[in-house]
Amino acid sequence: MTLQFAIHGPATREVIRDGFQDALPEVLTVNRRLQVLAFQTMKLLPALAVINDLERRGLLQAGGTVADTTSGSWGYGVARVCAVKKFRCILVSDKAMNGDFLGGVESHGAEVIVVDAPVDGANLQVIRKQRLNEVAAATGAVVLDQYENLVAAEAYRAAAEIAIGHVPRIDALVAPIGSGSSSRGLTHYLRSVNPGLRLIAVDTFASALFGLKVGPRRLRGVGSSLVPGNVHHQAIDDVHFVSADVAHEGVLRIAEAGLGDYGPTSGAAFMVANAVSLAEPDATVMCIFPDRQFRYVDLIAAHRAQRATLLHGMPAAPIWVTRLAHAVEARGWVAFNWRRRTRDEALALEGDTP
Amino acid sequence: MPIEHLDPGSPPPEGVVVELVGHGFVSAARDNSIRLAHAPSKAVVFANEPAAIGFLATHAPLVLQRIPLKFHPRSFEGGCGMNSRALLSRPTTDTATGAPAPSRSSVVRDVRSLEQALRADGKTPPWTPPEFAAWRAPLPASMTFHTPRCAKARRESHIGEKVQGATSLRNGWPKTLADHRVVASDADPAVPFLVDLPAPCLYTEATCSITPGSGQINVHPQGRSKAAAAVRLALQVFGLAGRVDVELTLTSNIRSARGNGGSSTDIGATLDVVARALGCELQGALVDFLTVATERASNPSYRGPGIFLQRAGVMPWQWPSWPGMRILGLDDSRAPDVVTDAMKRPRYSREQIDAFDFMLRGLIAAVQSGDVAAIGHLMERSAEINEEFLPRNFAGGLAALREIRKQCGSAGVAVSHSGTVAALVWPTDADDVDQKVERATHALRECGYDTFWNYTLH
Repeated sequence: MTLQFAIHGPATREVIRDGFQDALPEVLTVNRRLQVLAFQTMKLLPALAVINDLERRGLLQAGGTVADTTSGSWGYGVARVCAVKKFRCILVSDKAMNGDFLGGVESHGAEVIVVDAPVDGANLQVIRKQRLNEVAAATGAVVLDQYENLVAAEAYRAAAEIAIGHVPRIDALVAPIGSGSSSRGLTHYLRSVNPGLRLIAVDTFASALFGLKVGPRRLRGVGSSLVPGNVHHQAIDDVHFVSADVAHEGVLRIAEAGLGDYGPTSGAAFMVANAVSLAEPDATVMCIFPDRQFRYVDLIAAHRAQRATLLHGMPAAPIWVTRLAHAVEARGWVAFNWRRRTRDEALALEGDTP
Repeated sequence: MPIEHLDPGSPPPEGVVVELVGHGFVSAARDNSIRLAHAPSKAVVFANEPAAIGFLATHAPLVLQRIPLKFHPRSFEGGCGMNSRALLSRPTTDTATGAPAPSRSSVVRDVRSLEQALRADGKTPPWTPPEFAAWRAPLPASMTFHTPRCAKARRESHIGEKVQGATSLRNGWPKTLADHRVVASDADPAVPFLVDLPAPCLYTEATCSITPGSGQINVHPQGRSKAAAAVRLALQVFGLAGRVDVELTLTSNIRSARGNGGSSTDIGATLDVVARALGCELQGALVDFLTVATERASNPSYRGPGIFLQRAGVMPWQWPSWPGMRILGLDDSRAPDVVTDAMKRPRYSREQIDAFDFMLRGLIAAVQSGDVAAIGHLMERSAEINEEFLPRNFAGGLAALREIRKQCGSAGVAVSHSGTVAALVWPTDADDVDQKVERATHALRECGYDTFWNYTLH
């Protein structure tokens, strides 16, 4: 079933016209059958589209205030767009946003409220959302709501144009899933050319997205403790659960392939894409690299230091499981045939409570 | 020989410089000749026919200037992208007096509303009816040639289309093509396009002779009314309407109503042969302009590989060449004809227009990189979408063609989007391509197809 978008997402030329050329990805070639759609900062594209949409609908006036919860590149994207469009930007985040990255966001004029981890073990994302609601009520800010806003998915039209403009036929898309927007948008547009395109989702262990038990996650950028509305489970063919170590190994392999310095999310996607390409040698595989490495330099350096040890026992390929209950972190890399089911359908068949 | 040399005693036809908002071509008069070049919004158009004046008034918000120009048909260049149906509409004024004709067409209505608007703005329209007669070039006292001027021309056609649909103007095509939009949305108009599959083996040959006379046009074989209309139009362009007689003979191996572009190929050959007989050559853009005027759409085969906006007569994207492709064209002669003129225009959904936009991007990349497999994939996607508007209800339909494509290692199936013909495509450098074509021919015969064209395209 294809997604019915309410409006057209922005075309490439419209993104360039708005002055955000660096929001657009480039296509990197690993080999004839494996290509990469590589972003500098993926969330710049949806941030621009969401704020443009609010302006178009008259919900955001000149000099207005926007707010959202984020611990990652969404905040950076929103701050960049607000700086250009002269909106006040308030971001509710947690300790994951720190150091140079926090400084980078604040340098664009954003006000960042950092929420401490709850001592009672409550879900941090829930706490952040509560704080966001308080801030919005106090300031009258418009909440962007990246997780539920379909415009954030439609924003990837421009990226899909670039992908198709380089690779006319894409048989499989390997997409890390966080908010669900990029995979949803890209798949929608790419399937208009090839309805048979297979969407391979990349998640991590202890993530709620595909029904695993929620817990602390070492790998940042994929996975979530909540299930965002933009995650379109019915579009997904397979899901791979990747550990932080496998993802960090992927980062090193990206660099060794001469593609550049990308983050752990890209590393996870690269490992999965290579596996898919090996398993389906006739298919053209497109893999998404969401952002660069600069936030994660220490993590990658640590992995490199222990690489020989970590490689010992690291799976070279995914372990396919038939039950989600068997997707445990100790296995390092697990794949599950999702078969375009809703989350409820998939978990009901598992005998679990969704 | 330039046409003015035919009649040195008569003054040259006149032209006007007009502003055509965004119709994508410009003109500049240099050294008393006409030159069209790519730039927005302006054009030189010959306006010595009342219908043409009506057309200009409809499409040009402001006639900027009226200047005398010698007619050098060879100097036509550049794009010519306007809806020129009005050129064929009835005269909007009485040809003798210049007064408005009694018949009421939309052209007349538009002229009047434009005139009212200009007068309300304190301006005098330079195209008011009394001037029409003044703009007409006087008939020559005599023609200077004493023997018929004869010529021969040949136009090749196509087997259906690789891709056909509608593309959003958001893709960067000229905004003024919105005149040809197929989606009723001012915010996001889309225009019909096609990328054809040329077939040099299918063609029309035209011969004609032109003699001084009173405007009699005879076309053989009889019943080729569009070719006759094309002759009339060509004579209007050359300022010879009513001054010469034309004998036109068409020979074609194209069966009409099958999706091979028979009538537009006839029209192209006709325009070519008339121009050639007069010692001129029409540039592609002008041929498209006149062909659209004659039958609402044009056929881009002679212009080489490109994305063609067939209702506008504009080719906004061109490739230097096609990658090497082995083509097996096919038809089931017993399948019912598809009369294009009687077909309803497809009303593509927004989702389908989105899909076409992406397919065009893919096609541009695929042709540039010589990726015949990707071209085949896109052809087949277009054929799939077209099933909604013209399902192939014969010889096993599209499903059978796809099955044979798989069995014979073909890159893809192309269909006529308004006809019965189709084609299988292979890269020329594919392994055992001859055997694959032979196997496909055999399978297609068993399926019911009985007409084939086997050729290579570069």
